[in-house]
Amino acid sequence: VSPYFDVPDQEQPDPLDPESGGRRGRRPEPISEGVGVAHRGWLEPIRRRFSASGLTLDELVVLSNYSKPQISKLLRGKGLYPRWEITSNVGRALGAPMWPMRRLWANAAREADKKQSWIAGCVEAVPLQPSVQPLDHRALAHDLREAYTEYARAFLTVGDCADLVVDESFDILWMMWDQALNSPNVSRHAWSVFRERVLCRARRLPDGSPDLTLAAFNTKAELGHGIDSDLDRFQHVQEMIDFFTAIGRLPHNPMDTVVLRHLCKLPEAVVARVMGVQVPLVTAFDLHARRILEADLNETTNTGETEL
Amino acid sequence: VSSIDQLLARAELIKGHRVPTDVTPTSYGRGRCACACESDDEYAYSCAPATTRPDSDATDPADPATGAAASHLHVLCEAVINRTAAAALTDLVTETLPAPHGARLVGCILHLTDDHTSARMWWQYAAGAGDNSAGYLLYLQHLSQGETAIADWWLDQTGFESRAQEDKAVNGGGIRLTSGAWPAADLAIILRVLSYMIDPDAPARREEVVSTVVDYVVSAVAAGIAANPGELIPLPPDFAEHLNLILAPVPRPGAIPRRTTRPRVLVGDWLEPPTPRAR
Repeated sequence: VSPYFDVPDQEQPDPLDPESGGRRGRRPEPISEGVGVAHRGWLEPIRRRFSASGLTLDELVVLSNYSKPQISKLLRGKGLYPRWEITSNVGRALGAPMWPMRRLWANAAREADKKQSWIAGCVEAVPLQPSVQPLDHRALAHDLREAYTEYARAFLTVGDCADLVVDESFDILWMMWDQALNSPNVSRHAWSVFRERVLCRARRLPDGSPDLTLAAFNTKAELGHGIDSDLDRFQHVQEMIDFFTAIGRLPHNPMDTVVLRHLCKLPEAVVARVMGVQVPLVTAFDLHARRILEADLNETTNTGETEL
Repeated sequence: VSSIDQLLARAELIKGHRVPTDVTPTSYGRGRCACACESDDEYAYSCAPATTRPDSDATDPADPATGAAASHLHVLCEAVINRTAAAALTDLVTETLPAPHGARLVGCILHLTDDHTSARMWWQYAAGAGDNSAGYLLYLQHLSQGETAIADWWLDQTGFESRAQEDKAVNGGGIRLTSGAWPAADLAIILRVLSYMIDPDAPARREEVVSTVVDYVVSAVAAGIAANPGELIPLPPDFAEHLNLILAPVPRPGAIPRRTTRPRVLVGDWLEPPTPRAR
């Protein structure tokens, strides 16, 4: 794999990263293990905001009006899933947009198996004014939503997961919108947030690569143009499963390009805009992907022949 | 083998295609969808219409529809076995994979021997390969377990009339025949009549060859599962060979012409490789 194809997602060290230096006080402890994917959705932006605010934990305790151990537990994701009252107080103290945060919180509460009545009770206890969505965030979401959804659907075929992940990603971006605007390439930043959300929810094959098997059953060709007999259909599906597995094993930029360009059938210019890279780079990723896939495919056929 | 360009051209996904959420996750041993995309309150994300949401998994024994579906399923399985056991399994897709109508039969056999999970797998394979009757069997099976949403989904997949229309037709006092679609109401009435006539507790009376096939399939599936525990619908590699042995008329040059029944093969024999009957 040529290093030429690796586009740095973050060209400078991220000044808002809680793990990077340059803030007062003790370094925050990392998020504890076992915190769910959805829970991280709002916890990570909150930790970044806390880090960027320059506040110490004691100052945050005063602002949010909760005890220090409670706030500390909340910021590390320790213990039971936190109620909306404490979460919203911390969010408000850090100036986070409350509307997307509440959606992220409620979604994570469902993931943590909280009862609907518990969630509703928490939400009712904290009256909330709708937050105003930044115009540029709205424009970005409007522009990219469709392509994002198509990409997500390749990995998350079942139910409404794809739509949910897209909504969730835009909410996370909204929560960290200042940081996105400060990044050298907003589309690229948005893409890296979004694809991370998709892939952490995607099913994995035993080798750790994302599982595209279900998508292999959703190809247009499978709908039966020219496939008449059951045997041909079996063969087609098997071939597609192997091919999609090979796509899932590609390095991440070539994989994204193949999924957007060929599975979602988006024009090259749109793929470039969605991924936040230049058009020639998309061409390069595509060529690179083809070469790897070809090698992969030849290898499989050759082993198949020797086994016979 | 197709070239990369051909494969890429054929890899285009159907736009907006959505696989319904698995509404009976417990029976497959899988957890619920982790992202909680099924919620529909105001602070949740845009959500699916209520029809695709999961039912409770619990069977309500008091529900008359559940009991009726169970007895209809029993009758239908018996009918499938009696009518198709001798012919359906000779048609194979690969050496261990029967054609869809054969898989439907295997499902029926397994259902009657109380292996409901395996039966479901076989019917799902058959229904996925376009066998509408298997879809109807799945509809009855889910309905008999109180899983109405997925039952409706399967009925929808069969292309038979929807249950709502069926209820309307039955409750309206007559059967409505529509052109094109198979009236599911008809099927329901036939099954209802049959289930009144057949005593479910009485031992099934089957032809000898049918019961031979049933016994063999049960032992073959058990052997297949033992050999390949990871597979969903496993069969032993010599499945076809044994079936042919059971079903084919045995050439007997010096046999007494009066005897027409096939020789009975013992269950234990089928698990051994077939040996030519010399002497």
